[in-house]
Amino acid sequence: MHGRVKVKTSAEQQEEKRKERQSKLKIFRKVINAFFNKVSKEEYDNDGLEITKQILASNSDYSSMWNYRKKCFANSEKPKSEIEAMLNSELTFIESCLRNNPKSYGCWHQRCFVLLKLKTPDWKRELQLCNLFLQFDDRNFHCWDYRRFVCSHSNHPLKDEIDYTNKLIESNFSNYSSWHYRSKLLPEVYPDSSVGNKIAERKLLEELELVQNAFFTDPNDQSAWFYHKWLLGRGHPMQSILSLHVSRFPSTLTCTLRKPIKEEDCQQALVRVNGTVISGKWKPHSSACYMNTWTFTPHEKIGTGLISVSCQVDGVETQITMEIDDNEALCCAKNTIETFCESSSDAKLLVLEEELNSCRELNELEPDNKWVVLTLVFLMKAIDPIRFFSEMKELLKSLCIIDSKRSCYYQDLHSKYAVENWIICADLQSRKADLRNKGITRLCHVEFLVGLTHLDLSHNKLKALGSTFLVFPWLQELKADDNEITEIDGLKALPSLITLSLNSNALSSVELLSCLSTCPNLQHVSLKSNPVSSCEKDYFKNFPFRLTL
Amino acid sequence: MGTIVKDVTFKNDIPKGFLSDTHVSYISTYGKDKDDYEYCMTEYLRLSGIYWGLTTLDLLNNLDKLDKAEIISFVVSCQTDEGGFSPSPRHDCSILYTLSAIQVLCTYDQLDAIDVNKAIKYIASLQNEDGSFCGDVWGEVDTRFSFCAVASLALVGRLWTDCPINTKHCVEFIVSCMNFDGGFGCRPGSETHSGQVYCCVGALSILHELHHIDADLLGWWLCERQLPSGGLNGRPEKLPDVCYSWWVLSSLAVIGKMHWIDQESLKSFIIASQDPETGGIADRPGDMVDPFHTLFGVAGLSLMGQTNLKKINPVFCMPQYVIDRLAINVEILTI
Ligand SMILES: [Zn+2]
Repeated sequence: MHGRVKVKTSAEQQEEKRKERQSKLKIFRKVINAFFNKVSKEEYDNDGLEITKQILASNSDYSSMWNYRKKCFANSEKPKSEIEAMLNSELTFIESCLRNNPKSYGCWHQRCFVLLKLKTPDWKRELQLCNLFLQFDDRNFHCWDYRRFVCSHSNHPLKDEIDYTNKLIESNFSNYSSWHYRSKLLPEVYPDSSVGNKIAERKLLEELELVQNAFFTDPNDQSAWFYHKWLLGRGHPMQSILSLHVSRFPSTLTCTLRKPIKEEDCQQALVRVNGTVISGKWKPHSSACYMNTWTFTPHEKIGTGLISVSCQVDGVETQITMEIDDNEALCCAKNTIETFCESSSDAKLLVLEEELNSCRELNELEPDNKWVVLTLVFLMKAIDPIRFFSEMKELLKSLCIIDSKRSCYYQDLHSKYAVENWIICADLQSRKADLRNKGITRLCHVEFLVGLTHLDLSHNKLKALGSTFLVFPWLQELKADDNEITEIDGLKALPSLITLSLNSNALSSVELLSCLSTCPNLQHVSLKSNPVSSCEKDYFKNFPFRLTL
Repeated sequence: MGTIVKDVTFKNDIPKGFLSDTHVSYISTYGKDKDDYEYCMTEYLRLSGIYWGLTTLDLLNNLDKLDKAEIISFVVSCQTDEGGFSPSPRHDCSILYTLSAIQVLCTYDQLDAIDVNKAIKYIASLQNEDGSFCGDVWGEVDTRFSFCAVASLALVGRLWTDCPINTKHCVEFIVSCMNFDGGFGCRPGSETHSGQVYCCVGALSILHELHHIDADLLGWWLCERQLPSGGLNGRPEKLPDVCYSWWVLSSLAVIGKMHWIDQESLKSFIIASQDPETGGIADRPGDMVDPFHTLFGVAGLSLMGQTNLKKINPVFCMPQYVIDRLAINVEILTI
């Protein structure tokens, strides 16, 4: 179904083709019927093997026929040596099928099946077969998978496989499959003892040089750039408690985690007051299975006086002290640059700085190469996202022009970095966030902002206040004037919201506001300069809050 | 040495708009002639073919063009003693066609026509210790089969109540197939491929486990599939294709990043891949059409809000109203 070009043909040619196909079909049907005859009689013999060969040679997707052949090898009551010979001749047949259709799932699986059946499989020969097929098409993922199958069953040294990818990459840098394979091999062969890093640093620095050579040789090939991003970045962050909130009246403890957890993980949590474990019930903040924020209601009220409360959940722990007069207390984890990127040793920083300089030079030579520009951004982010922020912002802006198809990606990336930098520098303990004029198109990392009572997002480029906003249990005042907001369904049932300001946005209908009726404490909403502001006053009369239009 | 971007260019005589009526006639006459060569040669995937055609016609508001009774009795005739479905009678069953059968029957609201419990038992029997699924009794493992299992069980209402599989291990296996680029391959260690991304993201969405995904990283890889022509490829340095366009687009939709590609130029690419003479949509402009690419072209346009088309569900690739009728809630990330 792929890559069949439609050619204009004359009526004569069409008629000729129709006749040819008609006779082909006749033969095809005859063979198919003979095949199903064999199946229904449960005859698994050489005759059947010959019949199925006729179809599979040109149509290797006919899986029932491969299955039939598998049964022939499994059921055969022939002597073992004869079966071994049959299996070996099957390998020859599969190879000829693969030459016709190197991307057939059925063929490759048949080969795995046969190899596992053989008493003395020749894994060396199989590896050579892989070499041959990868020489013909070095992106054939079926063959790569088969190669991994061969290696794992023959205990082939992974180091040799790294050498093999070296060889392929040397002959052609544009080889995504090889880079991918390296991302699997290196952490196995050169594991790192320290937490969080993927590869031992010595190897990582070597690898950075190799990939740099690749993108300098061919700056338009995306494979190396993707791989480079992986070398720079880090995988998932570690679990940690971002904030812990305790209140005496009502008696609750609210814990926000970096990574979302399930209710069953919560049930394992331990809450201690002055060192004594207390019992109670955990509840999520919405109906989703996985949540970052969970609230604990103790069976007995949290007492008065100076107390220390600790929470141990999902392998992490934090504690908070409540003064005698406090009704509530919030404790937020301190954030640093490392909160959002991998920490770098001096040796690595030196390499990254050198790379940054080389990329700047490359950028001067090829100013329109988007991969260079984006990699400059990634390098700056890895070296020092605060020091380089204004430059990163300019580069991302230029990417929106050079690579306009993906402009929203670059804008969202900028928004992420802007919010991360704000979080690194902010005093979250104050519970007020001023995120005005950041040019952001989305609000990420809301789990860091859960404790807020006041949030100002005015003068940005937000298009919607979506479900990410559902996370604010204490938010009293939300301002998002002068954005491009068309939807606010994320403001549903915000429990503490009193004042909402959405002046100068793009809210177009009264129905969009209906979710606000579910905010129990909402008193005032300002909607000046929205398309909806010009609606008849009558439409708004049912809202239980004061409106400024 | 320099990389030349693999892409297509449009000829001058490409169709201007969406040719809804020609697609209806292409699909509704496909297979009417039981001696048609193409039709006969694709017997080994017939049941999936029916799902492609039926879903296309439903999206085009022309489901009644098909003979419902005939289709249902064909589906019924494909259920084997093992409980699973074969692509056509006499063939062997596999989890691929079991999903197709369930999809067709759900669209017709006729699940009662088959032995559902037996089908469920078959699906559950294919799960391995590590959570992965085999495609059939012969043991090929692939994340496609994980998707088939999860989607089938969700459609028959057995994922959340009385679930016969180990969903925890199922998720763990899928996550073990995640790669350096945020995408997924067939098995642990396999290279990312957008068909596989669709399956893994879809299964995680149905299971409400999308938090395992690094949406920014995967979204970047996915939006880089878009080529200057507007079409999307399945892997780096490959040609654009209408079916890959669907797998990438729907994955982006599930992780809330559909705005990271240029939808207008993707629409033009799909429009240009139509054949105005025969109806139907090809893998790319100028190629021969087939029902497979016709569905994914139409589905893509539906997801991008094309008027006069029914809304598609990005995970099941079935009309949204069917998913609503079954009260299935998939997880969709927002920005
Ligand atoms: Zn295709």
